Order: sequence, then C-alpha cells, then structure tokens
Amino acid sequence: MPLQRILIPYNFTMYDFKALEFAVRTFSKSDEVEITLFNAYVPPPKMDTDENSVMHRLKGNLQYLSQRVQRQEEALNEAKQYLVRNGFPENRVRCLFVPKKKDTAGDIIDRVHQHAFHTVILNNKPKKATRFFTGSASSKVVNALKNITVCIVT
Amino acid sequence: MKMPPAEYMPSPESGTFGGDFFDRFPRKKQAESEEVFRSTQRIGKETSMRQDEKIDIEIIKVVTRAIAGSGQVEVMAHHLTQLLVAALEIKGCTLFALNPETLELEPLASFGLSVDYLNKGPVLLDKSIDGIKSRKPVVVKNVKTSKRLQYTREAEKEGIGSIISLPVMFNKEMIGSLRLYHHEPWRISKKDLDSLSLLAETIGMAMMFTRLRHLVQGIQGAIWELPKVLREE
Repeated sequence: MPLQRILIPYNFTMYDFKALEFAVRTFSKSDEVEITLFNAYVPPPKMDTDENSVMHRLKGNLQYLSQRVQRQEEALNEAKQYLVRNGFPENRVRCLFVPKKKDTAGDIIDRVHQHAFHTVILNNKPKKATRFFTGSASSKVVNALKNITVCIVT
Repeated sequence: MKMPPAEYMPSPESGTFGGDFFDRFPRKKQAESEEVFRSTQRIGKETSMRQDEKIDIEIIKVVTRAIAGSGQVEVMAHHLTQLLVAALEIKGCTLFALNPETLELEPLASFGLSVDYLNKGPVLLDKSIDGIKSRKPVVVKNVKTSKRLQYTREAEKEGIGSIISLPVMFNKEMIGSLRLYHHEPWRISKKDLDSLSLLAETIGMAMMFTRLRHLVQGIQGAIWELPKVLREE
C-alpha cells in the first residue's frame, strides 16, 4: 500500500491540538502514513533604513522578534514529539515551518498541491468571530481541493 | 537597545521606579486603592507622578504604515502586534476580535506570549479585565495586586506585570480589543494612552474594511455559483 501523506496545519491552539488527538486516534496504528505538521508564520516586517532614533530602536528589536519567531518553531517540534510519544515513528513525522505567503487557506492549498498530500486534517471552531475578518479557512480549503480527503475536527 | 528577556520581571519593590508614590505605598492599601484606572480623565490625575512616555509620532507612523501596507488582515494584525512589542519594548501584545454572540474575545493575532498563556481559556468580555465593557481604556497597573482579572494566576505565571486594554471601536460599537502586556508595573502617561486609543481607532477601521471586503467577496462567490442564465439577468 502506498504511503499516505497527511497534512496537519498547526497554529498552537486547543483546536489544533484536537486535530493532533484525532490523528493519534485514527492513524497511529497504521505503518503507512506520514504526518506533516505545518505552520506558516508571519515574519517581522522589513523596516526602511531610516536614520531616526525610533527606526534604530525598532531595527535592533526586530532581532528579538526573530528570536520569538524561532520559539514558534520549537513549539511546532513539541507537537511533533507529542505524535511520536503517541505511536508515530519519528521518521514519519515532519515539521514544515515556513513564512506566510498567502492567507491561511491559500498556504494550506499550496502545500497540498506541492507535496501531493492525500489527506488534510483541519479544525474548526463553529461561529468564530474571526471568520468575519479572515474568512473561514476550512471552507476555502474544502472548496478549493479535489480528490483529497479533508477531515475537519470541531 | 536590546529587549529584556521574557523572564525579566522586577518586583514592584525592586526600585525600578524608585522614589515613586506607588512603590512606597503599602501593598494592601495599594490593592484597595484605584489600581485599575478606567478613564483617561482619572489617568490624567496621575500625570503629576513620574510616568513612562514611550510613544511618539515616529512610532505611530511606523505602526500605521504597517496597518495600511498589509493586504491581508492576518498579516496586518501580526505586524501590528510585532511592531508594538518592539517599539514599546513590552512583553507581548494581542489583538482580539469580539464575538457578538458569545461575547468572547477571540485572538486575531498575538506576539510575545507563550502558547500556554494563549490557551489559558476563553477570554470573556464580562469576566476579563473588569471595566472593558465600559468601552474605555483600562490600565491594570499591577497584575500581582489586581483582583479584577479573569486569569490572574496565569498572568503572574507568564511574567506579566501590567496590562493595558483598549477597546477597538467602529461606529460606536466595540468590535475588538487591543491588549499590551508589560513585564513590570507600568504607569502609562495620558499622552501615550491617547496615542494608543487613536491607534485602536485606526485598527477598528482596518478590521471593518477587511470584514466588508470578505462580505463582498462572499456575495461575489455566491453570484458566480448561480446558473449563467440567472447571473445575466
């Protein structure tokens, strides 16, 4: 049986953790799956090299921002370790930590196409207010993908 | 200038604000006294004390340009929180959207706070920082002595010394909240609070713009799903 590639977008919320639990319950006994945890982070904004003091201070502090972004990657690795502790072989769990290029749904859709994933595990909190501002990522992904299994954990 | 590490949190008695009235005031009385200032008018009375002034027009310019320059609300919100943390040299910042049905403040973007703290539980408008419902800025000057927080223990564990909460308004309706978290007790000046309030108003307009844009895109999508014959009528 060919390897089933599963993508789990992960943004460190309790609902994302539910998606991990679902993956453990459903796929950890299978030898034929490979999980990819995916997080698209927003890199600190690029600053113009202005000479005023505020810009100097900001530029210095942007290094601190970059360090904080690195901590996000560590948190993603912790999620990977959770999967490993719960039955997935370490070599079958990967982390994908990349800069955000589109909106959340757009980045997920691009990854699915690029890496030919078979399954995507999303989470959805019903009636979220933030969907008014960002749109529903799960709806966009479901509408955009074809011949892909999309699991939505609520 | 380097940012202090996240763990850095001097106690109120550490002398960071040495010679200040509040540091010499007995803690019990301090807790009993007005620790949470609910209006700019009352905060204005504090101007006779020494206060940190962190915000100038250059910071407002940088942050406003970041808001205006982002095509997506997610990027805009993240850049906003990142820039405020860097410019004000504070611990963290979160922009919330208010859920009008559940009255929960849902994080739209956050920076500088730990995953554990962000997942501490729902932030409810009527239980979170007391007074935010009044739609005025609220300053929790010292988290350790405050009895008006929903998650006091978690805030202390996170190393938060003080919190400033600003309502994000649009057309007199509250649509969200901007919160700034400092490592240490923070006596914000009236001028800085006014500047942040102005920034929150700009954020409100940007958030509402993206909301309307999504609405229009949704209507456009629904029209395109109609049979061609109906679309052309």
